[in-house]
Amino acid sequence: MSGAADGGHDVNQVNGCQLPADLLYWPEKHVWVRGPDADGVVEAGLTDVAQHLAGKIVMVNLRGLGKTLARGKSAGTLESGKWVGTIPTPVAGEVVAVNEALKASPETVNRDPYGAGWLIRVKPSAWDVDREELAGGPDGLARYRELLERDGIHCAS
Amino acid sequence: MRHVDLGTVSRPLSQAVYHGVAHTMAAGDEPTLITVSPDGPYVCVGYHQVASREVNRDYCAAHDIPVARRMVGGGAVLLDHDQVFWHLILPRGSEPVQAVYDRCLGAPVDAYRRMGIAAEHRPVNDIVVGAQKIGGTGAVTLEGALAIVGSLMFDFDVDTMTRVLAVPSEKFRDKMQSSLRDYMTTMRAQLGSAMPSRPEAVALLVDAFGERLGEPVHSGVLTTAEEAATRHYAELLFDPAFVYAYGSTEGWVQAGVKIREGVRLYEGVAKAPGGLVRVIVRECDGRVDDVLLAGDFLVEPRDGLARVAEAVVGSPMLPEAYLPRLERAWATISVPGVTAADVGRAWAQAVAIDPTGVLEPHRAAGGARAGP
Repeated sequence: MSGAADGGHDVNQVNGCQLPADLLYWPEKHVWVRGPDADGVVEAGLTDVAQHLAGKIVMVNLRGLGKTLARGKSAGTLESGKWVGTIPTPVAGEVVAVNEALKASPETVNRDPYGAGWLIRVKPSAWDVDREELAGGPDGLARYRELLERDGIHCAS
Repeated sequence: MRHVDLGTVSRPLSQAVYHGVAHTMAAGDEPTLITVSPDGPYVCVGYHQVASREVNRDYCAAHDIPVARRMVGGGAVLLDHDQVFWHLILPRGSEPVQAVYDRCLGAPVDAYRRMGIAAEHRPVNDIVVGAQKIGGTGAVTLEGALAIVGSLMFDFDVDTMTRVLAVPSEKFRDKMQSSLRDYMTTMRAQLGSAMPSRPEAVALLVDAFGERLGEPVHSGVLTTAEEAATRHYAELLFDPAFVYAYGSTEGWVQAGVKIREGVRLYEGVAKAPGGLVRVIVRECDGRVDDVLLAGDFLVEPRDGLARVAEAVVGSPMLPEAYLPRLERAWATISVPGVTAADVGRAWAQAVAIDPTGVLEPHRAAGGARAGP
């Protein structure tokens, strides 16, 4: 279930879904958080689960640059197969960067959701509070696994 | 499952209603199926489209055809009273989008088949009869709900469709009309006088949804909260500030016009010493399906351009495949001041997406499509 290496990071596999061990998750929203870095900025994106549920992504529209968003508010939208969904920000704060490269190659989110397919960088306004809500480490992965199993979500297809 | 048959309503309400119901839906609510037609024509662009690129605003304004932008994806489409829209709104689940389409689109397919139309679901989300599309579908996750929408296509006004969309040239418009006739169909085209009445067709559809979803169906009406949310969306979706929110460097831009899944029509031009070269190309499932070459130059023999066009039809839509055929055929005709390379440049321009998003007027049709 775990231990596969990806660029030196441990990656867990749950129901065929890749879940790197070093990230924090909001399982119900299928978003991840990395960081914070030395400047206190966190990076966020969609999980492998989210990209699998969406299918081939043809458009990522990130309109939040410079905005201060509450946790869970929409940082943008994505489109696949004429389906449109929103991208919830997993932490409250100011969006200090968006992944402009996705405009030209949105399918990167399908191909590399935890790397080149990152979505936004946020300067958190209440990191200590939001961190508590996110799932990380073995307990967090167990929480995500429980949700995938409860909802019958499998990434292998 | 609650079925709300709204009959014929105003154009804004016909589009807003599923947004309003989805917005209001809570976890645990029963699914809702809405059937409705608008009382007149309107253009509806996809959520991520740059409406100013897709729509012929002057024509629409002069002909009382409002323009809306829906929360669902896909491309610009003409909607009118000859379609019965169906909107299925489900509490938000955790199925892949494709699985939802697979589960739900069997219902309109079953309804068409019971009418005597050999419809099939063509993934991702088209409904087709042979090579022809009889209705597209789309979806949106809105608050706590997923809305999947489509239509029963009683008839379709091909001529108006090609006028409400921005097209690069009259020749392109002609080719778009013939392409829509080749690749779209309707209940009227399929059944003629045997076409069911609207109530009969709606009854078939509702039964099919009930069976496919395993849900007993009962008739219902909108709640006060749903009506209020619908009024909000009716204003929002038709508000020009919302419709034209995306500038030319934002939004989802694609080369050419989509006719149906796998079929696109493109136009490009290039200047040559002998004159302006125009190439209109139709692609079908990765191959060159139809080509029109035109320009203000002399050609010997007179049917030379048609012969060259014929020589490239059937080729894969890849320069390394079509260019050698083009060059060989071009060598058999005489066009002073125009080379096969000039035609190749026009072709390359036709299928390219302008990376700046700032397009020449002749490229104004990028990304539109012909079907809901």
